[in-house]
Amino acid sequence: MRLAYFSPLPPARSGIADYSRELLPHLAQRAALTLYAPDPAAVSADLRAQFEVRAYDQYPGERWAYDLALHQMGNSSHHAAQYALLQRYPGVVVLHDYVLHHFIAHHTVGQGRPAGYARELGYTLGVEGVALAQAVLHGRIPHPLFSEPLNARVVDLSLGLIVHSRYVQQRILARHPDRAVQVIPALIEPLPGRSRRAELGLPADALLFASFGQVTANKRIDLALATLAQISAEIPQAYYLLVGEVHPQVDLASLIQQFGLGERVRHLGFAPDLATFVDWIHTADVVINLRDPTAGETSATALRALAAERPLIVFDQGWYSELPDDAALKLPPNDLPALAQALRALAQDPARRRALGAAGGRYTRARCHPAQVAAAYADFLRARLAALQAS
Amino acid sequence: MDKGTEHELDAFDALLARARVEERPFPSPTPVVGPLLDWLRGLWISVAARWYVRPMLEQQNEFNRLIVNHLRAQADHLYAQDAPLIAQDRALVAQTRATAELTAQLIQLNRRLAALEARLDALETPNP
Repeated sequence: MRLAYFSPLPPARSGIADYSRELLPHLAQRAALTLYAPDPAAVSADLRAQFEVRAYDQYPGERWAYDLALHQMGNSSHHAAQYALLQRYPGVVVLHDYVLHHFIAHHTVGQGRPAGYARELGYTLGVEGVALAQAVLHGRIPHPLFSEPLNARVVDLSLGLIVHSRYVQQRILARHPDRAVQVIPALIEPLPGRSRRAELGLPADALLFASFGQVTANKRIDLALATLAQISAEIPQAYYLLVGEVHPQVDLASLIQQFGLGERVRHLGFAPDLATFVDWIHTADVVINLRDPTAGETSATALRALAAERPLIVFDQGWYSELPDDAALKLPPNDLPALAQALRALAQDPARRRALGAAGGRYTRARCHPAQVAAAYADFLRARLAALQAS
Repeated sequence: MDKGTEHELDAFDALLARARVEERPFPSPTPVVGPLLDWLRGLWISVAARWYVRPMLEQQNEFNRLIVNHLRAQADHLYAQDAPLIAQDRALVAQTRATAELTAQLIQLNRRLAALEARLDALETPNP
């Protein structure tokens, strides 16, 4: 099987680029791969050494050489050129996020093309969508970022869909019952890591809660900080580590000041490389990975925390609900008392922290290893080819 | 009424509400003698300006009304274009997907044809 592979690729600051880096060596054992990129020279040298990387504009003339095109699609600006190509030459799509609205808004309105935004909403909702877009564009209502996923065009174009959760599968099938949608767990390469606790200068008995990745509003860092402030008198050894750049919409310094947390919070910014990022995950005692609203995403950070055998706290919705009960504490979304209770419980019970971590490690080894995921990809792609031949 | 149409009507209602220009009193803030000043000002306006300004106000209001109605008609016209454009967009996506399916099928057929030709060549090649 010969595949043309489309995805953001390292060194792009994209979770899907990291995903591809982990998937590709394993998928290459089951299919002949050619990678396509807007600018092959910008792809990391190690990947170019392993794979042939060709330019997007070469694909139209070369597409007959492949059995299928495989697109890794997500909700970020990294997919702009890929989206344009996908609309002309569809293939099998791996939908990493159910919601593509942020990407579409950036790709249209953000690039001075408001008509494109109206077109996308119109495609999904009909004439009502066009009027809704006008209302958004005239500032009368905010972008319905989470209520309108704007994935219909991608779903309709695809020759098959791979998603990472039953949550997303069910939502797609509810709107597009004729689509072939396969759930394949998100992958995680188990990486070794070491604690960097000494670099933080914390007391010896410090209990380190931590959140990772870009600090955005829907990661509810504000709620985590409020909870930490609430329990700080009971658990004076509790500290909170944040590793990731801060989105402009979040005023982290003000939040820390508002809750009077000061030295209790350590913010380290964007980790320079994956190994460092993994090290910081290994440094944490408990990983807090909240999302509300959810964009139907799969959190690579949550998976890395599970693979690193860290106890994980999530909101009980979307993909997060499908994590094993013994590997993650799943709380009602935005429930501060429940979060406070969870932090207290884990702070006081090291054995439970270890048990949760061990279950997380077992889960990722059993379900998320890149070799298993690549095998599932190959099975689905062969099934799609067979179905296309039979139709 | 759908959500989108509601937003459009809201916009035109807001425009219409601002379309009518009217005379506005401007009371004097001066204490004690203010009402006297208002009366004198009103007298002066009624003598010097009212019969000159009123026809212009009416002219402006008529123009504004025509503009709003014209914009509404244009919007209706554009709105009527949306449905067929969306239908075309959806049809284009369906055609693109169908073409991609046919391309994939054709690629597989070519592969099988090439394999058959190779086997045929092998059969036709005399054994040494």
